[in-house]
Amino acid sequence: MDAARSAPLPLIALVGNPNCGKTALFNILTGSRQKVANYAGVTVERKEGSHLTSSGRRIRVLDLPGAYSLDPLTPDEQITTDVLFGRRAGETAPDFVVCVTDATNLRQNLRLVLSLKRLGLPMVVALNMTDMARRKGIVIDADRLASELGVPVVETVGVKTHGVRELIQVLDVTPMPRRCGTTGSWQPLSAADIELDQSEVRRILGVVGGAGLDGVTFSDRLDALVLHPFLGPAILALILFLVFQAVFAWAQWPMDAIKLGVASFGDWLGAALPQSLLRGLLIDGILAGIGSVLVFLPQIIILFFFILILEDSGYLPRAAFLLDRVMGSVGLSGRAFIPLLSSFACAIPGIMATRTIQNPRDRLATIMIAPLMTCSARLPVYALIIGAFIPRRVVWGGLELQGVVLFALYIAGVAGAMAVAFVLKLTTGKSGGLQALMLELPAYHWPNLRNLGIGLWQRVEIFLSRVATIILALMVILWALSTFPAPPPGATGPAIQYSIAGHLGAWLAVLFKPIGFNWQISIALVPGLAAREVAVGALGTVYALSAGNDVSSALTPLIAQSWSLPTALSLLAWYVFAPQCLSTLATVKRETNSWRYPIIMAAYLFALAYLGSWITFRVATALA
Amino acid sequence: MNSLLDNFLVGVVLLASIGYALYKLGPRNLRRHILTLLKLKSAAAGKVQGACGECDSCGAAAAQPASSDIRIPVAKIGRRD
Amino acid sequence: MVASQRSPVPPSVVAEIPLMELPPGASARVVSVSGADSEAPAGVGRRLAELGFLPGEAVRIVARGLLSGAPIAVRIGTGTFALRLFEAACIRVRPEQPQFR
Repeated sequence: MDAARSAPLPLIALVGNPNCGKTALFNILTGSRQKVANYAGVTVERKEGSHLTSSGRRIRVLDLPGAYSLDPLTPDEQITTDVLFGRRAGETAPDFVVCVTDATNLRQNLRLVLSLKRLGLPMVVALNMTDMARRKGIVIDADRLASELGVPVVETVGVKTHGVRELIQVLDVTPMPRRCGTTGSWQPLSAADIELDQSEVRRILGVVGGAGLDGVTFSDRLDALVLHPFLGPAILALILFLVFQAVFAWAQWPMDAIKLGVASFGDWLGAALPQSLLRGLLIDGILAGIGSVLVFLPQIIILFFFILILEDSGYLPRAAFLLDRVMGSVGLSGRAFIPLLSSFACAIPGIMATRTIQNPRDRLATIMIAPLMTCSARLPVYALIIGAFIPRRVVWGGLELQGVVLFALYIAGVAGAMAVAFVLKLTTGKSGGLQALMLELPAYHWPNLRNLGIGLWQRVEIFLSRVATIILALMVILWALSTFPAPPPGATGPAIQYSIAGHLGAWLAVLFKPIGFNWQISIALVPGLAAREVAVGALGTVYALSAGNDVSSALTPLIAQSWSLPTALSLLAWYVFAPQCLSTLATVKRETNSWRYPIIMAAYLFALAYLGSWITFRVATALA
Repeated sequence: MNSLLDNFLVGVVLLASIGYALYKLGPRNLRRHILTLLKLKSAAAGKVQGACGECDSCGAAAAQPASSDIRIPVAKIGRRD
Repeated sequence: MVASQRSPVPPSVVAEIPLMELPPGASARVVSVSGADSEAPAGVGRRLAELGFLPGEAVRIVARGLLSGAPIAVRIGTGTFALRLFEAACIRVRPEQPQFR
């Protein structure tokens, strides 16, 4: 088995323009579930999988970031060309190239095919999205295209499992000798070369069909509304409002069901186990911690339901278009929008998506503000405090107050990010020059229900596996730190006050007293650095140990009683700005190849969080 | 006897948790060390390999060799000479 | 084989204008793309060409931003791109006369 693995397998690479469906093909070929969405720049790294053909041949398959040309301008394009030219350390150039093209946009895609042909690698052209092309009335003579290009052409439909049969057959029968070397030399194209290539593309399109299709399309008519100077921003605001309203309005009954389930399980466990250390660990440590995090699963699913629909429909680049003036005025590249939007799911993929930004200064500025976008792991913290302190009532004609507050918190993060970007613009000056946009607005399409289902199920899996692994582990450790050493005989206060975590909390509380945090909050902040949602679980455990009753399902009323409103608001402000989890800082270190930026990031975020909380606490106290 | 078993179980769970937290949050070198120690490296082969930040957020976070790291110095990108 | 198509722009009496001056909805053909005489950073003209803004290609303004008309959404061939002002300033077009449409 080991021998088989070490024998060199043929290496094929999927190459093509951005958003032409490379990753969808990769997923079918390798059986993996990489992220697919309808905008340019979803894939920003080299992904590897393997494919077993029907005749039993195993092939290594590479998915690469999309590129407009072989002369890279952005870091993600650089990755693609480095792989193609065999320039990556310890890696040879691919033996075979699958050049993926969007059949609805051959006029643009064929130029890259011509460039790849010039490179001399053996290749096949995959005419992808042929179903969409046919629906638009575009009929392309694939055989004729093959003879014009001088390379095999296969039709594919990346979103359907049987849509790649032809491609698999080609991969099965084409000999792919290991080339084990670098690719032949590449002369960067001059502007005149590009024009010549385009004349050739026009000639080919004239022969095979697919030319002269630039009439007004459905996407154009929709864009007239969505990108309208007045209607467009109104539609965007409406969509965002709907999302945040739904997060609270739709989540109520599943959350109640989870709470009830956890509570009855806790009751049963409490009755079944005798008083012992193990019972304490299970009920106060694990159940109180895990239970309080688990409750927020429905809200996270609802948030992702909307994010996935927006990603798949092609709306995201339109939102970037509408907000481009704002981005430009604080000195951000228009291309920063999509990385920043990805950061609402998690800052890490967001920071990685900055590879689509060509200017180093712009890229760095985007990386530095990405953590200020509210990531989904912060949703449980917000939802807990909002649920405890903001009454459920309807304001201003049908709006739920809780949803409005949540919306305001997200806006606060965005406003903070814009302010920081503006300061960066003032301090780092005009060194970056003008910031580019040049963002492709893809054709709209209906979200694929199967993709949506898979995407949501992935979120459930990810959340549950986080709960069952890292969150569980941190809960156990926190419980131990909060239980040992046991209180001295004759102690009066709750046992936790005499434990390691209790002492730590007492020290930290001195630091955090000016911003209104009690010692319980101070303890919970520490494990929250590993993963945001752990802070909620930690509060569950800490209160279970200090209140002495089962809080696995009742953390909300407990904090509503024991915190003042200024404290709650101050904690919300803290979570808007405070540094992200350690993995985010590690990612910044990796992407910038320097410790300097993660350190600066952590320092400025801490300062901002402390200042924000201090002001919030003082103002709220004065008003109360 | 029963309480002895109880305490033993608590100890095992605690040690396992500390081990896991160190593995997951500790430096990458430590993780690689643990992987080789447990000879789990081959288990990661065959999965999709990328160079993501392992936020567990995209479903792609598979164990991966550090050689797939992409290291592009900030100053050296987007330059066309 | 390409020589016969070297000048794809049909002879026309219509003067060429910067892309920004094209009214929304009107069709035009690209005449030239150059970052040289604008304040755009190096490489912009080149990248625009790589995106398909090449002489002879059909363009149309799909939408414009609220203030000062920027950014603009431009249909080029069969694709659509959002451009900032300085990027659009690199592109000169010749409007197509209505009877040709």
